[in-house]
Formats: sequence, C-alpha cells, structure tokens
Amino acid sequence: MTTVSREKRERLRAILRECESVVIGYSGGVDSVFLARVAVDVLGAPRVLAVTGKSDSIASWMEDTARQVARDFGIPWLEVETREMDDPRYAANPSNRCYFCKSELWTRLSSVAAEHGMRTVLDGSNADDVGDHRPGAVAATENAVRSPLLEAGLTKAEIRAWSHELGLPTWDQPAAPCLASRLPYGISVTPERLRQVESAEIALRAMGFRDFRVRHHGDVARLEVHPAEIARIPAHRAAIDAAVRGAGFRRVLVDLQGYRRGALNEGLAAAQLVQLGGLA
Amino acid sequence: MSADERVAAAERALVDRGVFGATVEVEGHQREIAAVRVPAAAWERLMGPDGATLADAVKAAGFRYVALDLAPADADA
Repeated sequence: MTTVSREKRERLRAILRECESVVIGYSGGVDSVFLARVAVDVLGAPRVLAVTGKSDSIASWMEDTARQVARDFGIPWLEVETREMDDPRYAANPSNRCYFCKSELWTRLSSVAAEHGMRTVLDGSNADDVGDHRPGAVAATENAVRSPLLEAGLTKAEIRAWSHELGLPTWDQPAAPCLASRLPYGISVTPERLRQVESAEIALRAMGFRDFRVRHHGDVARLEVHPAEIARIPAHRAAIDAAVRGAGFRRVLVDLQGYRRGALNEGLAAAQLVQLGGLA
Repeated sequence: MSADERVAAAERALVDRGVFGATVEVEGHQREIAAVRVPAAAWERLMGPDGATLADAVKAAGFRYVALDLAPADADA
C-alpha cells in the first residue's frame, strides 16, 4: 500500500492548526471523512463540526455512512438541508451545474460556521482533483473555503492509505459524487430522475457491484461498470435488466468501455471545462 | 454523416471485427449512443477484454458512447 511521507502528514496538521476551528463539508466520502477524523485529532472535537448537506441529489447510503462514521469516530456532526433543487440554474443542468450546488452548500456552511463560532470552512479536495472539470471549486473560492488535503499535496492513494491506518471504513470506498452527476448536461435535474438513478444503483449494489454508475439518458439507462467487474454482467443480465427497468427506464444498456471518471464531460468543449488548479 | 449512415458504418465495423448478427440503434437525447444488440454467443466477447476495442471501432462511426442492450436479442426494444 502507498506510504504517506512525514512531511505531508506534518503539513496537513500544520494547516489544520492554522485554521484554529473548522466546519467541514462532510459528504461521507473517503476524503471528507478522513479530513474530519484528522481534524478531530489535531484540533480536538469541540473545534470541529462536520456538516452534511441533505438533498435529493445525495444518495441515502452516503448520508447513512456519514452519520455512522461520525458516531463511531467521535466526530461532531450536523445535517443541514440544502435547496439547490429550487434554483432553476441548477435544475437546468448546465455544464457548470456544480457551481450552483456548491454555492448553496458553501453559503449554508459559512452561516453554520458563523453561528457556531468556527473560524474556517474546509472541503475535501485533494491533489488528484487538480485538472478535473470542477466548476464547484469556483464557489469554494468565492466563499473562502480552504482545501487542506490539496494544500498538503495529498493524493487519493495517500488518503486511502492513511485512512486505512486510522481504521476508517471508508478507506477503500469507491468515489461517490452526487446523483445529479449521472444526468448528461442539458437533461434537467428533477427529484424523480434522481430517485430513478438511486433505485437502480441500490439494486446493482445489492447484486455485489461496487464501482459503477447508472447514467440517465431520458428513458434509457446506460450503465458504466468498472472494467474489473464488467465480466460479471452476463451472469446477472436478466436481473439487472429487470431491476433497472423497474426503476422506470425503457431500455437498459451497458457501456462497452466501462466506468471512467467524468464520462459525461467527454462531450464538453475545452472552453466549457473549469479545472481545479487553473483557478486564481 | 446522417444517423442512418452511422448505423450502417457501426454494424460494418462490428462485422469487420468478427461480430456477426449485431444490430445498432441510435439512443440518447443528442443521439450520441450506439445501442448494440448481439446474439447471446457474442456476449462474453463484448463484455471481455475486446469490448473497449470494439467500442472504439463503433465510436469511429460517429458515436460518443457504445453500449450493449441487456434485453435478449429476440425481445422488442
């Protein structure tokens, strides 16, 4: 397994001490869980508040993970309802959709920080996120949100390795962005469509698939399954077809290239990409 | 290239690579998906290491995504 240098560990701790007291955008994913756990170590629980934004775009199992890990590891935790779905600019699902969602989230978390007397708001961006299409990073910058994992130069592999050392159950959890990321740009985000995606993904997870996405193309579902798992599809063909149709899709397709991060960005022109690390 | 021309080119690409009896339909709100149906005997090959190579060949006909229909080959789409 990857090792994490002493310099990076110290750098992360130093950044957290500099922040003094923190509100962390806490999705229940690998990065934010790790950040919250280390923050409690460094600053002490009274100076940490992990906050999960609750909305239709967050898978219910992520919310459950967030709650459970916070309880098991002594991380102070709060859930706040976010209302990005009420914003027509978000619901229209443009290529910078994440900006409107994150703008709502970081505005809410900045208010929470002020109410609780916490000095700094943090996110879980890491060094591997640099270069990705990340319009939400603009909203983070506008709200003075800091990214200690990115600042410390920690990669995803290093975060997983350190998480394993800490005994965090999320150390090998697949990446799990919000459910709206399953809708191609231009297909409006509605609670009903998000429920369809979640229902289909729950069914596939119950069949033992771990790393996949159900992409919502109107009445067609296009499944992206990690290449390491794709060979299992023929054995489950009928069950997958029935389960995904049961979620409300007319036709169920399996992408021959398998799951790859950011597949729905493949149709974007370079001018539409907003990359973390390319921001001032 | 029109949608019909893309379909013919995609089906030809599969035949050229030894996948016989495949049909291709166009799906997606931007008509960007090649939905491929193949006889059951070809399933293992498309879901195996050859799948990505075959997808590249079909994409070259003008599609962004290439995906296999999970319905049985004799079912209505």
